[in-house]
Amino acid sequence: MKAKFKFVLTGLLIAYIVLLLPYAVHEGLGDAGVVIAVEKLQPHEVPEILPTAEEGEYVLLLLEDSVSEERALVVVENAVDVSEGDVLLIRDKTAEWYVNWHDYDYFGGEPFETLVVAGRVEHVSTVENRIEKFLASGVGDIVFGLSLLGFYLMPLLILAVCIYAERRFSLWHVLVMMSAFSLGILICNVFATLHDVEVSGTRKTFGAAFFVLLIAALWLWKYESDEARREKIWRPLKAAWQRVIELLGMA
Amino acid sequence: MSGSIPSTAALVFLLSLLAILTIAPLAVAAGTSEVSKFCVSQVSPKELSPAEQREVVISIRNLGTTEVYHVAVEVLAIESPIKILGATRKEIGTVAGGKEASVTYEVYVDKGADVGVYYIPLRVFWRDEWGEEGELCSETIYFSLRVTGSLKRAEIEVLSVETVPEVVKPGDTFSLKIRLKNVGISDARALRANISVSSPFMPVGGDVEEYLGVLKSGEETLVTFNLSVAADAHTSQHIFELTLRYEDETSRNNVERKEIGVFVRGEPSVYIQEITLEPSNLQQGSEGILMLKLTNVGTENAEDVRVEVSSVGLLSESYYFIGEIPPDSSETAAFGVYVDDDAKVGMYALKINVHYNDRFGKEYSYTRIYEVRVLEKAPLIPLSYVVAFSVIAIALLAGVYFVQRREDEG
Repeated sequence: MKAKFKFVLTGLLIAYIVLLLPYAVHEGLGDAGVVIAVEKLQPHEVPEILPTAEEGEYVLLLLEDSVSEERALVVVENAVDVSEGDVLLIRDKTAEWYVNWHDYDYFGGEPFETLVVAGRVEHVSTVENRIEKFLASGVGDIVFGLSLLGFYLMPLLILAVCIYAERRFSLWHVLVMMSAFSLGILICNVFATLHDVEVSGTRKTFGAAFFVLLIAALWLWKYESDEARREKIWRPLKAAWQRVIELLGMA
Repeated sequence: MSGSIPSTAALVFLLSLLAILTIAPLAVAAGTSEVSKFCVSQVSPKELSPAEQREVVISIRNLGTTEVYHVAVEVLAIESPIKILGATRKEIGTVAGGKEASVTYEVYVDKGADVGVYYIPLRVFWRDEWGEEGELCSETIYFSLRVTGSLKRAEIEVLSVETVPEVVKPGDTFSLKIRLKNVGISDARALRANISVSSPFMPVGGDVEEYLGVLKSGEETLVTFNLSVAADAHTSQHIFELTLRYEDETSRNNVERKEIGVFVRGEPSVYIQEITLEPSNLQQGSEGILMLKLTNVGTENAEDVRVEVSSVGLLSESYYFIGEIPPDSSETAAFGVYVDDDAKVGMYALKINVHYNDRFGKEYSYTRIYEVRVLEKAPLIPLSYVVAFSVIAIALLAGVYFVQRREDEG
């Protein structure tokens, strides 16, 4: 029973990580997008956007988010080796505005949401490129939806499996669920960090807490394996819960 | 009868012979003095101008086949605007048959000489033998000089006037480039160009007089003056007087004055002096007002001033007509702001286009971007309240737990 449980748990974790990859890669790429169209631009054509730009070759890129399909017009200097279909990462953003796309209709009536002024653009790795293109394909929405669903539901599934395996609820089950969720966040954070995409402090902390949570879960699992110790935790918990119920009932 | 006819014929013949013998030597003798021996073969130069003084070379040719000796020429005095300076008689010497000889005269043409060809008599003297033994012969031949229409003097014309930049605006510093050409016959020497500069102009980094040196006949030169124009100069044509001083063959103090026109064109210049957004922080579902204060910092009226603001659904209207803004005056354009409940959170760019004309109908426009941040609508219960409540609840639960545990242990 224990071996089967461990096997199932390991399988679930692997499935979780694999399923998480499209979401983690896409989120980690931040403002990256697939190039829909490219145009050259002189700074004097849009002096209100590039007021201090010297004469030089600027490039207008119409980028599309492979998942949300939101488009952005990116103004960048010297994007010489860019062609349609490339997946590009936007670097050194100086402005990002929602604009009336008719004011900057450089692509023959192709609408877009935002106008981004960036210092440079970068090509992503081959793996990321393939995942992004796959997400941009016809089945991309389903894959990304599954990945997103997995990100949120798989820890709960792990929790359910743990409870089912032991036929009771233990505190370490909660910690395992939190560890799984923390692991997902950690994987996402790693991809984001690879591309210098900003990650909030809370996310960073929670991602880093994976190791602590894992150790805590293992320790608690060991601790709760002993029935006497388990009783030490759960009896006051149950009594406290009862008291809270009584207090709320009184209120 | 028959005997008288031969005798009459013989008499006529004898008389005729006598007449021939008598007349022939006379005719030959007359021929040596009346038939031209010399002619003028060349005059250089052939054309002179009034007031011109220069050397003229006259060549004569011996039309005979034999040498003549002690040849001399003398310009005969006649009433003519062409005067010979110095000796009128010039000795040449021996001239072989068919050969030429030249003499040079210093000639001056009166200033008031009429245009035309003047024939001047030249008396040629010679002897057919060397020494005093030869008979002194002479004849009068003529040479011609043409007096052309103008004085031999320099004449400077202004070919073109340019400014750099092409359009001079109040407050500008510009270069006034004047192209001059000497269309006269004489070279202009020690040419100086002076320009009269008065308000609202000022010379910049140099003098108002330029020394140009020699400007040869037919040549062009460019004279440049660097000037600045006062910021409050009115739109109009301003006249400068260009004075050209030079020397030529007629005078050492020629002065020509020309008028040069420079058009100073003031223009309106409308800028957005101030943008006010009320409230300064927009949230989803909020309303407000956007006010643009436009100021004309130019020197001319800005006419037909209108403002267009383009955005993604933030403004209730996108066009505002102001009309006229005089220099140093301001006007305000106001736009209603309305943010939808479901507007996206983030930075919005308002593209503000200001269009206006000057009094000549020239169109101007000015574009700038104004950033507006749209914040998320404040939740009914602030997050801080939720967090505080959660912390209190957890603390309470923990407290209850530990109390319960102590009771159990007790």
